[in-house]
Amino acid sequence: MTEDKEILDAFRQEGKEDYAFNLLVRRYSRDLYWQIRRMVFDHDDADDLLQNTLIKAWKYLPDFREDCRLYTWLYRIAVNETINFLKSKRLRTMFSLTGKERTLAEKFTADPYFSGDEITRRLYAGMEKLPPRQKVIFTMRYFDQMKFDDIAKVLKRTVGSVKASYHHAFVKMKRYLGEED
Amino acid sequence: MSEIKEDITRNPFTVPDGYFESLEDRVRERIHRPATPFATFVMKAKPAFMMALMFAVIAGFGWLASKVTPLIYDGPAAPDDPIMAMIEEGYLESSFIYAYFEEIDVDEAFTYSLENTITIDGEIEEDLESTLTEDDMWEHLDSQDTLDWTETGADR
Repeated sequence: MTEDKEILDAFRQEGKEDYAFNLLVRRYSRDLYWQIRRMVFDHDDADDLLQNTLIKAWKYLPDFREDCRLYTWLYRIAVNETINFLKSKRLRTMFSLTGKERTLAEKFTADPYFSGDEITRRLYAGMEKLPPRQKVIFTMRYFDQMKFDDIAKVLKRTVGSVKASYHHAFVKMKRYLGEED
Repeated sequence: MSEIKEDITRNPFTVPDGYFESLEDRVRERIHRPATPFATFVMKAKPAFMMALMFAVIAGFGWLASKVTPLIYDGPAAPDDPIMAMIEEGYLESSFIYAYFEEIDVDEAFTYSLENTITIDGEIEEDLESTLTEDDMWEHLDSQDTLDWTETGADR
């Protein structure tokens, strides 16, 4: 919270906006990047989404009401950006004119920034089949071990709907991994 | 799932060398990059375009529904019950049936029903409005002579 205060105080002082923004990027960009990367898998996509998140943060920081931690606010922007990206990607794939997209396994094999083993590939391949929101909720809960309450706050949804989405995602993942065995 | 869960602490992803170190500069360059006139136009026109698109889609669905509905639905099937058929065709008002089942005076209800279903000329209508009696009405109906009274069972 002290760091948040330092960043926000600097941002409100004339001529210190750039300094404040540097602090914000240095403090939070790594955590945000890894959160996003686990949802989109691809480095270039994660990089685009992280930059969009930081640019939006710069634009809307004067409106930040300080009713939550700065990271929670940034995380909320990142998650919304990611969900929108996953939705549009899903649509693009659905209406793709160039035929079927490369499978995730092929992408991972060609990706120099992925070093997962077979079991990790299977897990991420299963996640790729989930609808965007379920994928995001599954990632937040399964990988980041976030509480349902916290996920609901970030996504601005009810705890019940978050639990239901996670349950659906978990059942699908279990079925998918069972089929693969 | 449990065996996978044990492996989740290991991050299988990596980033290019120096990625985080150069991030600040790249983001700041994008923030301070002046927007092109086209990009500004797109940003401003996007909400209006999306709204127009939404209305077009709704209108399109409406037009499609109006074209498709007659192909898959040609009105209700004619009811088997002759009384229901008469109601459907507009020869009887449902008040008649209501009266029938509620054991109200059927003749009264039937008369009421006829009053409301037989078209009367404007000239006669004026006359009837001022001097209408039951006899006048029966006389008028006789002159029309369009109904087979024996089938209706109405008391003349």
